[in-house]
Amino acid sequence: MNIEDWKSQIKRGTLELCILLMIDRRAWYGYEIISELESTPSLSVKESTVYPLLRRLLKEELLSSFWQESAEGLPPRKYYSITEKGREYLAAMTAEWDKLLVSIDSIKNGKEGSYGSDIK
Amino acid sequence: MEAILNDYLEKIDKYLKPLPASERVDIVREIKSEMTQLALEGGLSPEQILERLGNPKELAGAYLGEALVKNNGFGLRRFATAVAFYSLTGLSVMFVLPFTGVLAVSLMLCGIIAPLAGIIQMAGYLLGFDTPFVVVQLGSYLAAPPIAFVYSIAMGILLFMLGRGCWQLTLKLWRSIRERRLRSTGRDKGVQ
Repeated sequence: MNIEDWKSQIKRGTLELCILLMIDRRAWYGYEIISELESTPSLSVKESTVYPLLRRLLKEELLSSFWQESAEGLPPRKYYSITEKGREYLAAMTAEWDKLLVSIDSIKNGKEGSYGSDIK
Repeated sequence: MEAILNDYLEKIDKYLKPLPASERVDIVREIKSEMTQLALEGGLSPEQILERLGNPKELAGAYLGEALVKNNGFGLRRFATAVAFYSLTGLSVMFVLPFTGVLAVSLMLCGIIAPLAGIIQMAGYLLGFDTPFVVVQLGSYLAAPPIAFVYSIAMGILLFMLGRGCWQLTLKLWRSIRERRLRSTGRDKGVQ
């Protein structure tokens, strides 16, 4: 299997978490989100992924948005901020993520059975 | 704004037709804002901007795809969104697939039943039974048993061949979908 395929699958699965984590800190606009993600080595994404995803998060009421005029000569920007529902969802996601990391770690270190009791 | 950029936005608007007008306006406005920022802050030329945003069909398709994920109900709007999504992403065969599949099975089944019925009638005719439940009728013309037997066999072969054709078409469509899927999973590797 191509490592690039695997990387793009991971990215797809974690992008939502990354974007929510960013917006949890302050309101962001689309261009800013994409630039920030692009500055990281492994999270760079296309507009055609980020904008439709933001729209879905809006519809699911995890985010809210507002248009704001920016400096002269620049177009108004659409800012996204997190909602109460979004915060709850993010907390649940973060908890799952942490659990996942611990599980991967324990498998990597060969600690057999240390997570067996978690399986329901 | 450059003409080619406006052109792009108009295409997006057109492809997003199944979405409510207010949403469409908002999406186009946001993409326009992104374009301006890419030009002013990123220093990209209109051609570079279009390359970044990618094929308008793909971008619009991504919006429609997310709208489908979100909306679980069934209504005309959702149906229209689904049709538009599959046609933009080149997956419209997905709609034909169940149809040709069911058609193939029923045609082949008819292809078997028709000659069976013909044989029953022929046997009835030869042995002197009355078989009113098997009739070969074309309009007002009612075929007499020996001829009806020939017809039923011919009809059976024809139906069965049609069914087989449909089945092969189904397999072909299925393979083309699979290939397209494999190709598209390798695509979204992000922008360098």
